[in-house]
Amino acid sequence: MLKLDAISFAYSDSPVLSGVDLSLTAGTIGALIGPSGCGKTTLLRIIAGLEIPQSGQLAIGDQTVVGDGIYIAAEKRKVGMVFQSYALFPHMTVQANIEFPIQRLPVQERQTRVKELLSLVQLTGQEKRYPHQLSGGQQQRVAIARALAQQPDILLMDEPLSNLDAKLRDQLGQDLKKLLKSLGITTLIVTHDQHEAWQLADEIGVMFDGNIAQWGTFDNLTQHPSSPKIRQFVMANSTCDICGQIVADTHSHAQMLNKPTA
Amino acid sequence: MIVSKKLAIRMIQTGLAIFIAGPLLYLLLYWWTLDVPLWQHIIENQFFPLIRNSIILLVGVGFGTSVLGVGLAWLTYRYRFTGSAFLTGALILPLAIPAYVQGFIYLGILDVSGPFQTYLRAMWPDVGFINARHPFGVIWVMSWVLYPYVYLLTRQAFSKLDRSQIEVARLAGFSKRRIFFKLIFPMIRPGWLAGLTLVWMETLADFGTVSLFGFSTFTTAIYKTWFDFYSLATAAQLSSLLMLVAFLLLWWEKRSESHIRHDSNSTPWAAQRLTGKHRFLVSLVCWTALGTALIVPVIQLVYWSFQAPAHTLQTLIDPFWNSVLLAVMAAGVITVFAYIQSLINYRRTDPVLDRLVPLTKLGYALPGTVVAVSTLLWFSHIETFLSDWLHIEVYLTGTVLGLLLAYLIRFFSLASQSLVDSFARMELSVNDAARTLGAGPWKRFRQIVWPLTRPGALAALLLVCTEVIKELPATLLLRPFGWDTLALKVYQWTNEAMWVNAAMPALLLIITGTLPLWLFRPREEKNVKA
Repeated sequence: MLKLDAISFAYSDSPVLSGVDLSLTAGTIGALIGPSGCGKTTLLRIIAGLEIPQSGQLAIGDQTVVGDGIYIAAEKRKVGMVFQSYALFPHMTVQANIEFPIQRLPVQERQTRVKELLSLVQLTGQEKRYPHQLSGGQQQRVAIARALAQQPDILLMDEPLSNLDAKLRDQLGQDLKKLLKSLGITTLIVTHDQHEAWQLADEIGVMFDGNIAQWGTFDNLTQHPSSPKIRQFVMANSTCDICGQIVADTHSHAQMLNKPTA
Repeated sequence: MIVSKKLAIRMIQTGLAIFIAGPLLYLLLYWWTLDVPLWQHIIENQFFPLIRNSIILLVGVGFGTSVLGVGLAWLTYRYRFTGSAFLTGALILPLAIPAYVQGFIYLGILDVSGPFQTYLRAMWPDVGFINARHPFGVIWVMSWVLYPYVYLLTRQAFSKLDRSQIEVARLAGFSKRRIFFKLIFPMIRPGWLAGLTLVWMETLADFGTVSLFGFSTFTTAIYKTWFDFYSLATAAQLSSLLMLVAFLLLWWEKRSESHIRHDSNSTPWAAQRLTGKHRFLVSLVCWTALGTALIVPVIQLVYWSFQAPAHTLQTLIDPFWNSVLLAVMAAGVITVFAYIQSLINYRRTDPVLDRLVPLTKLGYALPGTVVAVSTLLWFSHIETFLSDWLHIEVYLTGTVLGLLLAYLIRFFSLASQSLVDSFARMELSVNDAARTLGAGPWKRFRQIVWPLTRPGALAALLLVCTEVIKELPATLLLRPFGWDTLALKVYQWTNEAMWVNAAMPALLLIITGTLPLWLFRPREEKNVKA
């Protein structure tokens, strides 16, 4: 599980996050949506330990990693992160990339783990390839396998589908959700694309100006938006604006958005 | 803990900046004693000719290198012809020839006693003597040596041109000439200006060629006031004047570099394969250029080398090892310093650091004479300070240490540039990813950062090596007593017009310089239209 309590963050003089609260129960997939610049990627980086919040508390699993004078560095947290650009190591093979976090394990165990992970993400037989020889979708799956290799307590994903071909996005989104659910891993996804959130997440938070304005399920957000601004954002630029306006009113129509029309 | 890390980084960077730029800035303080009669002499007899000469040189060499550089870059980018793949790379090789070597080769060929004028006199006895040591000679020689800077950088700019932009202009009914001057030229202008800035820095910094041709500029004047008038203070004052020009050039370079932005999704423009008359003409132009800049000079050197007295090679053994030793030591030290600077700066945006980094570049815009003067003053004051206050006697001036500091000041920017580029190509999130995967700083450095930046470090090492081997003025002024290097041998022999003796060390200089250039040569693009 993941718990954030009044997390605040600012770059020298401009505040980015002002007292963010969030909690995810074990095994849930959460998504944060919001316009660019609302602070969602910064929040993800704080959870990973790549940025240090000025105040607030953060717990991953049953361990406090920030707060009460405690600060645990990114290297020591059991967090897996999949970057928007995937951030694969360009000079290492797929195998070496996935082995990177588990180099201390005995060779035998390491190789079994890599095999398991590769079959999990359906990349068996690609061990010897280099990142630049893979397609975007394959690169993403290597990044996921690498993030999972150290058996993290939580998985963070930054815009997981945005770098992929529009045609593939839908299929890969479904595959991704199936994979995450079968692993039962707590996941937090950040995206600017509402559709991506609808497709992948159990719970969704809408972020504006450094705060989570509303947190809830899809039905919850579409039927009871807590402000006109949220209604507008949830509806706007999803699959299509007009559908959004109509769908906002009825639950049954809302479900249609989950499976977008051509 | 976080605050102290930031502070530590600022302190390291400040230390580096003081270490590298300190001796130079120290020169600016050197105006407290004014040797009035000497200054009167300089102003009355030298000052205005000096400025006039410098301007003539800058304009002339700027024009020459622009015509050669932009022209050759355009031909090799746009057309495919006999040997174009080879020429694309080979046309930067003249950079391996030190300007003073090119200078003495042309003097040797064109001078009164050279083969050219001997032939002329034999054919037409009343032709008289032609003065080869003409300002035009300096411009000619330097243009043929320095044009590769313009060639390299404009060629890079050409290769980023977008085909569709040109097609838009064509559809709008623009003529070919209008497309070149109204569309293509403005797009390559940043590259051309960046190349030109480098050319001008090298022109201002040149000492060997201008002294060979007896053409006085600031660098020779600084040398003269030091060695003929024994006035180190006046030399420092002249140097600080030149430094102002260097500041101006650096500021200008910074302004022009901020404009270079290209769309990464552009469609490359296919080159044209030439046939018939056009192919012959373009091949002729490019091969003639390479011939003039590289092939003829090298043949002449080889020819002279065979004529050289038998013991020449023997006398070169010590200088050769000294050159290698100096180059390797300097390249090692400079690359390590530059690597540290790139490592601590690459992922930070700190306004304090941004202001300090340009200071470390100053030395590259300055002649070796200025760097030598400042290093000497700096070290002699440290010596005095140590002996007066701490009663420790150390000798820093006239040691290898002094030379190494001078090279560090002069060539730090060169190493730093190649490293900054390779760090910039490394994606920032790769380092973050390694952190989330549990890698500590040492593991991240060893497995991620170092393997990805190693090519840049190697490039820096090689570039500095060749520059140090070629370097003349600072080595001449600061060398330990009795030390000779290959470059100094060339200088001494050419000073006495002993071209034949100078040929062999010059050839060695060119060979060592060619190697790294060939490794980093530009490659021909793959898109060709029949």
